[in-house]
Amino acid sequence: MAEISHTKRHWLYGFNAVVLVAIAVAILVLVSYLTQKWRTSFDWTSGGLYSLSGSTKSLLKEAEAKQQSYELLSMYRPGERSQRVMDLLNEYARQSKAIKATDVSDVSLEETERRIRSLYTEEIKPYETTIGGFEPLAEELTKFFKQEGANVGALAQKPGASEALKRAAAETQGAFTKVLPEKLAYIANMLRKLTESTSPEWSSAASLLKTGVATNEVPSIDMLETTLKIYVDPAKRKDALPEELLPYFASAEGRFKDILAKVTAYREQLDKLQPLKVQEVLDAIGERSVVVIGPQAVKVISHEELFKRQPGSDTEEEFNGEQAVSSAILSLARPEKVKVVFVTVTPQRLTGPGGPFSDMISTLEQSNFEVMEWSPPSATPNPQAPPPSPTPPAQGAGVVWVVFPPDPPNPQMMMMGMPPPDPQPVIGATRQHMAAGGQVLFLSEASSGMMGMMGLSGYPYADLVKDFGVEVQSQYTVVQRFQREGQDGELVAFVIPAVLVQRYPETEITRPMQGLQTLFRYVSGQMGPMGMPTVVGPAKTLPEGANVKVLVETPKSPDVWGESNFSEKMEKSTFDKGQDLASPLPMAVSATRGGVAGGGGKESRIVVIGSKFFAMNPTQDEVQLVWTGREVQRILRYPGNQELFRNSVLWLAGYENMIAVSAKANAALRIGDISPGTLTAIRWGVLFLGVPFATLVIGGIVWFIRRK
Amino acid sequence: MSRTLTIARREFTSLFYLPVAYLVLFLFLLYMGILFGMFIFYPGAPSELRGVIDFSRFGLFIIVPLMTMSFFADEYSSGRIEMLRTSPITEFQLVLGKFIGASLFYLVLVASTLIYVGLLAIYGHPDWLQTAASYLGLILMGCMFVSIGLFFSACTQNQFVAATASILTLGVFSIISELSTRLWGEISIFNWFSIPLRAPLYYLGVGPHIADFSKGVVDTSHLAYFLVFTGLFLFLTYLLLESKKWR
Repeated sequence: MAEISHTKRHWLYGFNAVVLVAIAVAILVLVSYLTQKWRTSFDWTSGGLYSLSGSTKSLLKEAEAKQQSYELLSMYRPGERSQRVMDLLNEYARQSKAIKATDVSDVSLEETERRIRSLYTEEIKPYETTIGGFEPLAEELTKFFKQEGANVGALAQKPGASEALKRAAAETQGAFTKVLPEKLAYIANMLRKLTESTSPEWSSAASLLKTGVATNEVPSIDMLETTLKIYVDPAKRKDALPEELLPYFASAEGRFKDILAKVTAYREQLDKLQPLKVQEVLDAIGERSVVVIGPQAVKVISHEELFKRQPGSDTEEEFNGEQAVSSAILSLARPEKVKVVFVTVTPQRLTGPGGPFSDMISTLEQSNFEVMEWSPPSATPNPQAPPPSPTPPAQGAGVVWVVFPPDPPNPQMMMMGMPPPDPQPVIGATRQHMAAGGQVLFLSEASSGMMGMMGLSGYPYADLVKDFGVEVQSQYTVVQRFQREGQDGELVAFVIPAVLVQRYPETEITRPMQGLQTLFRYVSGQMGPMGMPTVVGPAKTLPEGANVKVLVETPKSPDVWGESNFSEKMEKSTFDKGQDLASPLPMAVSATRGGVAGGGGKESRIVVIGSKFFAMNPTQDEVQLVWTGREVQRILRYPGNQELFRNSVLWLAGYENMIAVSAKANAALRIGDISPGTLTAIRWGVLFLGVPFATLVIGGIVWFIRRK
Repeated sequence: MSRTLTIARREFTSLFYLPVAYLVLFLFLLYMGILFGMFIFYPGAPSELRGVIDFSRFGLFIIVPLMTMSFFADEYSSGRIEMLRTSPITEFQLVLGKFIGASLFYLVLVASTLIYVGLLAIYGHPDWLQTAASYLGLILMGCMFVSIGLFFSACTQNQFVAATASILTLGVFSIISELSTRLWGEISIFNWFSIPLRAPLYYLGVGPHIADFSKGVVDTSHLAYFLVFTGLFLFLTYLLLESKKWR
């Protein structure tokens, strides 16, 4: 075996090493490329926080079961937002066979529009027939006017025709034989242009016929009809036409009547056209939008819906993609929306923009509910509220009512002899609604505070909920003792009629809410606290066929109890054994009862919650900024409030499979209450000093022993 | 395999006799404790370790090199490397044994942070699977850092140089993805062709890879990233030790 020199061996081994390193790096690059290209993600969070939410998955399962398919088209031009949108759409497609996601940013807008139009052919047909019917009518009108023009012209040619007759005849002949046919030809030409293009504009064509073109003095069908009416009405003829021609038009009345009938029939056909949904869809499509094509209809999601501006910021936006896309699919999957009626004893503005429950309403609307409000005629008018009506806008099977307890009466009005609010009309209507198979979410409050001061005690709807085995113990106010730092830094205990709940019994409504904070709060009014939380639980003996489940229970703690005598000195309240109720206290229940007469044999459902204001905007909106290591996130402080309300309504509506925690709420599994003293002790005693220095001490001992 | 495990056991136990190991533990727990205590642990905060795990790399890029700097450099300076070379232990077994030993010590560091999970369980409602994913990411990232630390330790007999080189390299890995967004998108070579810069640099950084783990998402591409880089640096360390034979 030939020996190789040291230098040669050096080079040989060196080259070998370089080749190996190159191969290793190549493998690294290849593996990185392949794993990037075919990457798979596993979301280990229990609520699927970084994948599609439970409610979206349920929705997609439902679509699959019904064999409905949806196509999600992203119109976004390539860029960061486009990537984000396509990632989400692909996640939908990955999750369900019913969904197909496509990036159509490189497809022409006309082509996308053509596809959408093809889904609305039935809707477009009446437009095609009506607009297409104009040309024969225009031809007939032209022929008619030319003939009449010629007849009028012949009058002027007759021997002995006066100068005035000649002038009037010439003018009319000109209008009939030239001006009117030209205008009709112009309209027909415009209609052809609008409807024979690759993207026919049926709405614009109908609009042209209905309104005409003012700048070109092109008449609408309405104007044409009005004009013709002059010729068939002797009185109008006398007022509008030259005197010399009146005999002629009197003789021609029959012919004008015939042609007027045709124009009137056409105008009526035109009036019957319904606004085109396809036009609304096409108008909404933009370069930054997502189009959801369903089995029968299309929905366009705008950029503003996908990327919501954060309140108070012009630049920061929050990706709201899943909510927007799922809402669009939901509205296409279930065109019939379930109605939710907010019922109050006295007229109030609860649901409109800026109303105290507007955010909750927006959440319900995104879940495909139609929200309305109702109050019966009352002795206490409210000009800002919708006008009261003796009959509710919707009731019976398939409708959910949210029934509020009566508001405390205005003391000044009571002193003036005005009666307190009368809940009887609402009780009667609710009973009728339930008898017809309707479901109800009852909200209740403690009867101390304002209501107690007015001498109004007891829950007015107690009899309605008693039939389901539910008892509202409104004489008890649920209170919690908290601690805060006083002026000198010492800890001061105070009691308020509010309670924070984070753990819930396992029920269909509350199962996905574990760990989410719900605050049952009161509201400070001029006369003291209002809407204080109260105790709602199963009755001691349940009526036959009734089934009651506790949804919310207060924590078991000496700091939480049901106060029987909640007074103005509320901050100093203490638990009186024998008088007050010890925690844990039930605060919300769901109850069912066997089939009712009007409900088609279905079980009747109610939910009763011992808080009137828990779903109000200030509680729902309260956000906090949380540092996540990479960014500061805005998360809801009390996400449970929204979830409890929404899930209750979904359960009442029979949409149990849609009950799942929303992604946003899931982001907020929180650390509970820690007193400032404990927090300081843990921070300094354990985290900053205790544990790190313990390792130094152990190290020192080891070093010392080894040295010894 | 038994030789590898013997080396691993020796490295692991010997670390506990060195004051530097306790200094490393102290620094690690102080850094993580401050992160957790100041930014994570307060009433109303999400009961998750996401912020701690995500930001841990900025502490680990200094702490891990302090732990690994002596692994090979000490063998060189004390001359024990010659003894090891003449023993029946192969370079591969040596590298793997030291890697396992260092990683086990790193696991002790990681295990000491379970106290935070305990606090979250007492005062909050942590998502256990999310926490598991966070820890998986932390362990994988630590293994990658350990392999890089071992490589630089094998490069020199001076522990200080090894630690400094490791800190600089790991520092670059830790911040490059954040910096990449501020760099040019691509480099043009005499206008002939251009090399994309931003995307590869973003991929190279540890940040985006650990971020998904810390929030509870286990992505195959991130798994591959940590495993491939760990493997690459172990292989480079092996080659380096091999090359000492013929150099």
